[in-house]
Amino acid sequence: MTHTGGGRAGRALFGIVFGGAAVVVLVFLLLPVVAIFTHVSPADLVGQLGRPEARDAIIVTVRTTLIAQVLILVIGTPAAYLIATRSVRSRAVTVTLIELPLVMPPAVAGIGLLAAFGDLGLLGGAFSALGISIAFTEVAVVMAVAYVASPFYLRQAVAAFEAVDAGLVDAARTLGAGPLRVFGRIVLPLALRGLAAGAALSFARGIGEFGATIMFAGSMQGVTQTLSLAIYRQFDVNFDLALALGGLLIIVSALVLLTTKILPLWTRSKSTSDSRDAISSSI
Amino acid sequence: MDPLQVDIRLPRRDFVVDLTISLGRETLALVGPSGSGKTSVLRTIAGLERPATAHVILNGRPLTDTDHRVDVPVESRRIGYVFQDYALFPHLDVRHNIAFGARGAVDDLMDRFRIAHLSAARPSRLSGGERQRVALARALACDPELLLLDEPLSALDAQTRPIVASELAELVRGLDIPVIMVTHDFLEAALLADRVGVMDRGELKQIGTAHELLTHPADGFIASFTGANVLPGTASPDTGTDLTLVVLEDGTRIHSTDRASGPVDVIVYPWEIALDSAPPGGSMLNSVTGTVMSVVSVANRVRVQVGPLIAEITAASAEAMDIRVGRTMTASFKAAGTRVNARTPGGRAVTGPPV
Repeated sequence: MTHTGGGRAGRALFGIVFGGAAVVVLVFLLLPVVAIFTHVSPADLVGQLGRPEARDAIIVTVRTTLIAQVLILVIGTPAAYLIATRSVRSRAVTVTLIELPLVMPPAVAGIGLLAAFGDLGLLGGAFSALGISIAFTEVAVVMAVAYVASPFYLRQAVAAFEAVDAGLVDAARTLGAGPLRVFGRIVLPLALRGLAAGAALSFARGIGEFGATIMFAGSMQGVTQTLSLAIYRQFDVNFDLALALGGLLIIVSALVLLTTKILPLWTRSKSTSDSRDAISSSI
Repeated sequence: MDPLQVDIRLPRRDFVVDLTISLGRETLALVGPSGSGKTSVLRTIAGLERPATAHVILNGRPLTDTDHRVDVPVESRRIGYVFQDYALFPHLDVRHNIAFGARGAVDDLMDRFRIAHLSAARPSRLSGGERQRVALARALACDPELLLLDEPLSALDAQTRPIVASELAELVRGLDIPVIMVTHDFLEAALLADRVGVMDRGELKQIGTAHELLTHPADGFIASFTGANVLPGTASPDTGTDLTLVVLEDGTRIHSTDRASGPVDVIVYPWEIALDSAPPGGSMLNSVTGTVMSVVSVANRVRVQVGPLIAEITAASAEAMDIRVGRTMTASFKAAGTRVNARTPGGRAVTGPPV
């Protein structure tokens, strides 16, 4: 037997083991997706989405997701920039703290949110005094989504800002640009692709949020019941409706995935200039 | 009073950058080996680096004064800075790069720098020379009171460098503001600057015109930096003549018209050295016979290393004499073509000429 590995028999064995593994992986991951769309006819799926439970869930999901993502972008972007421009050590510590909710089980996030913002929680007393109750309202959904989804954006945004050449920031400053102008004209445009990738990840995580939401916001139709919660509610009541909602989420997720794959290709072909490539030899 | 006063003390890991300069409407080149603290000086003047002790006054306005906690932000200093890699904004075209901080007419500037036709091009499409002109135009568009150039030619390859250097020299000469440039190449400094300051390990060793540094180098380090051969030895008066005899470490005897005694560096410029295949006669000639170690063409001249010496001769005579690596040649030079500098105690030992 040579070191290149065993002739015809070896090659056949390789084909069976490795090829078989690849087939198993693909079938296992894609079969549930296919099943959702084949179990019930497409026309039935669309029809199910017209039911009031489905419409309420879609409205709650779109509204809470939109608000949560806007908050994540508007507050997360400047916060990530500040973190990215700190010293290496404080940056590492802060990013690690931000990543904690990322590795936390969603149920723990939910109970934590209750313990902090619930009526009997850490800040609950202060909110109650103002006549505000957060838990089991749409605000709670937004908070739960923002809590589990924002670390995905923040982590990516910090990395994107770090990747912007500090020399360009120095150059902009010597040209008279203050911090806001440096951020708006130089840093933000150059980090945009990374920020978009982070936003897509955060959106994908947020729209599928389940555990933290059900603990902190409950599952009340038309108020806090998002698509994911509605699937759980409907699967023993109306399985076809649960499948229809599932199909809808698959389509949305597939679109997000496609966007993250296509966006870099598109921006790259549009401008080849973000790599500061070696200086060419001719003048 | 000169427009620019700089006084900096900047501790680095293993030495302290310590520098005091006063600059008129002229170009000063700070030269020195890499890691000698030149770029830190520029960054401190621009406000990008904050040293423990620094005073920078530009046209009567204190920009940095660590004694009185004055630290004008970078963006308010009116100091143009051309970075070593030019730092052009990759997402903006040439026009928008130049217009980024512009106070005056961008079009005039683009015409003057011959980059008007590149107006809509992204920096990645430009050649090295074009990038440099854009970076310079961008810095000058802000109407700065001082211009800093960090290794303006180092990002260019060997063929383009001389062309861009003479273009840059012409553009810089037309400016009416103080200019400080940093380079590790003495010839570049000599070409571009009115005065040259040699820095070593944070210290300004000598400052003067390129001619002054060439003819009266303060020590062996500066001489070797200007491209001279520096040969350490021991000097004593030569008996019977009014010359000085220097015995080199390998026993070679060199005569010089300079007077000195004790430990010295003999300084000989490559263009003072002639090459022959046999030792020439004449009592006024010093000669060193050795093997040709290297032959390097520089434009229409050839640098030949013979033993410890570098000689520079024309390409034509190198070809006529059939100079090849491994041949034995004699390098000779006049006693009057040498400088003898007493070696300063504790000064760095310069053991050979730069190649």
